[in-house]
Amino acid sequence: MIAVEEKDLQHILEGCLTNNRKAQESLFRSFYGFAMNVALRYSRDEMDAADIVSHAFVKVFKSVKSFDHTKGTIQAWIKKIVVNEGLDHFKSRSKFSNDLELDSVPEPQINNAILERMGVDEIMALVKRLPPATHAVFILYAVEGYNHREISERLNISEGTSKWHLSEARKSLQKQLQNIK
Amino acid sequence: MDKRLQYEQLIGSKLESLPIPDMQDMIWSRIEAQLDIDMPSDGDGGVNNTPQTPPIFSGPILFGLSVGIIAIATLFIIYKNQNQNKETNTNTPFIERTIQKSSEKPKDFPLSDIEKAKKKSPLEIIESGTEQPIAEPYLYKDYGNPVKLLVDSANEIKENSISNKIITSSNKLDTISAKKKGKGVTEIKDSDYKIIPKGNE
Repeated sequence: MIAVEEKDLQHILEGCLTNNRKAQESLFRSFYGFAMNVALRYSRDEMDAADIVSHAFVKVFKSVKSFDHTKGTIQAWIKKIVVNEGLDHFKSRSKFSNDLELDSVPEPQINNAILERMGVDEIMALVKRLPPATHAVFILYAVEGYNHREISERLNISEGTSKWHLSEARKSLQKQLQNIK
Repeated sequence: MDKRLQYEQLIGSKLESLPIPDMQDMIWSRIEAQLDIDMPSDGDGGVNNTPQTPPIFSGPILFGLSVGIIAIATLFIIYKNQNQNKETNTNTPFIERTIQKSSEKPKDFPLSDIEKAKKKSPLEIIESGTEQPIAEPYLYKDYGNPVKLLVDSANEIKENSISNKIITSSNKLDTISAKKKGKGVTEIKDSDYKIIPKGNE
């Protein structure tokens, strides 16, 4: 997904540090596909995803001086910014209430064979039918691999609320997949 | 508790290969516009973190101004042309005419008028040196050659050919049209003849 060599990437980052437009454009185009893929998981449609990506890269260029290559790769750093921007996008659309609590999350039985047969667009359509807060928790948990503690910190909710949303997501997906045969 | 279920892992792996729309150019133009406001750069390099006011003449504003200027210029040209038309109606320009020669011989001037003029005494002698207003092209209308008639006697008519090119003015035309027209030859007056009597014959 990233088609840029390490030497070229270093040169591009140096240009970004001096606010060079061409270097900034090169960095954007190099990581566009990766960033867009992340943004699409948190958006309702392509225009929403475009908003997330554009805001994210503006933040990238403004804070490029704070990137520390010893703490991680530039790809992981950009992904973190895009995910945060996606979550801000969710927050602007819905409120994350802390009134909903759950201690344990049930594990519904889902036919994985159906999922394997389904295309990526169909699966994304199933996820997008979830309510915004539930959608965000499910993506962070199931796709990004965050645990409930990390999710609670990111969304400023309790772990119980995060678990409740995950439970709701699983129930909804199970119900939708049962209708697909 | 935080363990991902198999179907969730499956969903996660599938969502990593979402089709990416081709919106690079559009998104980059938005990013660049925002950076030009927040972090304007000096050409292709240099750091300039001082915030500047956004350009006044951006795309839509520039387009609107251009349309307005063109509209104002068009109205001004139309107004000017209308005023010029009014002026031309009041001031008629000099008219330059060219009278072409015809193969026909000029008609002889009827003697009756000369005889009439002879009977009238005293005869008004028009000096040959007196220049008659040339700007009377219609006097020579019926003649192939525009001529200036010199009458030595009642029986002799000398012809002098003059230039075929006659320059007239509308003002002289106006004065001429007010004069009485001569008989015989269309638009030739009696006073136009020069009568030079030979002696007292």
